[in-house]
Amino acid sequence: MKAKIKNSLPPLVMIGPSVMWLVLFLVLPLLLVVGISVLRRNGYGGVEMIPSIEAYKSLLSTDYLKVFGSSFLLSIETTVICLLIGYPFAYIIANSSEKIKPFLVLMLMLPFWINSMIRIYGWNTLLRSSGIVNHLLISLGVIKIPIEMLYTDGAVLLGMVYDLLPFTVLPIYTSIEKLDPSLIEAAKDLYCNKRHVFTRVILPLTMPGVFAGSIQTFIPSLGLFYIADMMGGAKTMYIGNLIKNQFMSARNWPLGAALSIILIVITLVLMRLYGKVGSLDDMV
Amino acid sequence: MRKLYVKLVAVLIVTFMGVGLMAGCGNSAASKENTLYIYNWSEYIPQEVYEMFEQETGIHVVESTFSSNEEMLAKLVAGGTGEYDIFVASNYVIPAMIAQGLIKEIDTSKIENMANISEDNLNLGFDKGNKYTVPYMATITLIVMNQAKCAELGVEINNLNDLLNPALTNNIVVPDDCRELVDVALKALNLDPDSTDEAVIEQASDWLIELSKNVKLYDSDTPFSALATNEVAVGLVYNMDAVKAAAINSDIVLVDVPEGNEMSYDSFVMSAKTEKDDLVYQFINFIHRPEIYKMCYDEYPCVCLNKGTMDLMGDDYYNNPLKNISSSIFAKAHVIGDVGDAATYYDNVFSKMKN
Repeated sequence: MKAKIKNSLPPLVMIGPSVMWLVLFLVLPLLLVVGISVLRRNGYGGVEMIPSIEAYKSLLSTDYLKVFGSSFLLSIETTVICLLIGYPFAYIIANSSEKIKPFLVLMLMLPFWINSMIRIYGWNTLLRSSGIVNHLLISLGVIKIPIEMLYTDGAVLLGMVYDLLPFTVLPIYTSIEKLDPSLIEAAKDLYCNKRHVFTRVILPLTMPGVFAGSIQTFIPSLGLFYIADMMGGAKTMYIGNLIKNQFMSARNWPLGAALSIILIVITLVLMRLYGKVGSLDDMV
Repeated sequence: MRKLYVKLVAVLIVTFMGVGLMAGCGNSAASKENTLYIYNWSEYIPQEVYEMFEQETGIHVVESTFSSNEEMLAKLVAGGTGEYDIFVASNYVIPAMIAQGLIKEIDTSKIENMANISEDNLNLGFDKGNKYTVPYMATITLIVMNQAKCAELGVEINNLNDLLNPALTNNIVVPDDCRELVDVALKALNLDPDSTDEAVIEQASDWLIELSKNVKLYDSDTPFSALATNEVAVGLVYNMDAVKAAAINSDIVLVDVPEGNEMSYDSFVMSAKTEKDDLVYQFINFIHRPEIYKMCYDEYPCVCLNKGTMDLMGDDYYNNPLKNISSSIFAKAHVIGDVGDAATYYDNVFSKMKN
């Protein structure tokens, strides 16, 4: 008996706190969300203790489907652009000399030291009609009237790509780093030209990193509503805004909770899909 | 040796943290009796006013802030009532707060400076006889335009329907708030802006979709910057933002529309759970002293409800139609009412507008 306690004590002490943390701050809040989603709303914001699936029924309305549609479209666009920019970026960092590599990685991480909302606000000042970019272009004589840059769809996309690019680059960088150089040498020995070395050796072997990068970009981009608000003037409603509004102005907590659950389910499905093609270890 | 050193440091850190924690508790316990907890809109009462109040009365004020009535209501319903002595709430949540027993009656005879509040702002529909509320300030949503830009575009605005003018495409800033916008549409269509009938509210949809083509941005936080920097030609903004924008950009002027503007009153209400009634009365009394109220107004120029303060105002107030709003505008303003469950219909129309 005593030995049993002695044996189970170390794992209990080591794992106990983190399990408690997860239960308190992840499992319980999630259960709360699930609980709220199947209750009936009261008129004041808040819920009554009466079970109801009203929230899930109203999810099927075409208006909400449209919101999901525009969110997905934006996320897909963001992910594709991040990949197109991020891959060469990661490739250059991974192949630069050992001396400057840590510096380049540091530069990539540097923006995280500043709150993302503040950085987005910086873009705001740069891009507005009377902003620095327009000012510069006018004084250089390139344009006569200011270009409308802020509060457009392009500005939203720019903000999203800017904010999420490091999340795409890092996993790709790690997978390129892990690549065994002797495989490239072998390909060259077998008279493979440069293009084929890339398309037949490097790209397939770094695919796990590409997948990890896209998932890490795609999932957070679904929830980043403040970029659309600040750069796009809040003109399109995305899932994040919709959920926020249900808890605030619409006073419809069950619907907000149901929408969050749908978002969580989508995320889980994506992770599952990813688990089929790559390993979760490549995520970092 | 090294291990011992590490252990020693660890023990020291833990001890310090523990001491810090207890010190924190001790402090608040000692002065809790003499501390007033207020739950207020962010940016509504300047910090120096709290400091002056403490200097004079020895009562320390701790302020927590919210950015929407719904946020406040949610926190109070979840059991936060006991944490505060006094809240600042808008008129349309007052009936809900009374119904849920979150606030208690105020003995206005103990607040002498109630006499400073102008009569038209007392005894209002949401609280007849001011049993629960003492008004603080009000907010009115005004339409302003950039004269130079509108002339350039060949646009004239005489009523709400003029906001749909195609010449204004991508040139308006409006609040990111469903009630404000749906109410504007309902008024433009001559419908009841407090309707709870889904069919009536739905009618606003087409008007708003038309308006959305002209909206450049939805912004309730800092819309004055878009107006001040000539980013937009027309703004539907809270009067505080209108004042700020016009102070920076002299082209910004008020547009009076016959349909009337949206208005809401913010009032002090007392938590049902507080036992510090006297401190609450002292505080409200202090705020409604004309010179103190003026400090609040100068920092946050909403709508001044204090007669005494009006007498202290100079030419910059009386000659500015955005600050000294004419009584005809107030007379036709619509005070936003509570719509209960129908809030969902308003939100649906708003979601459609943005898609």
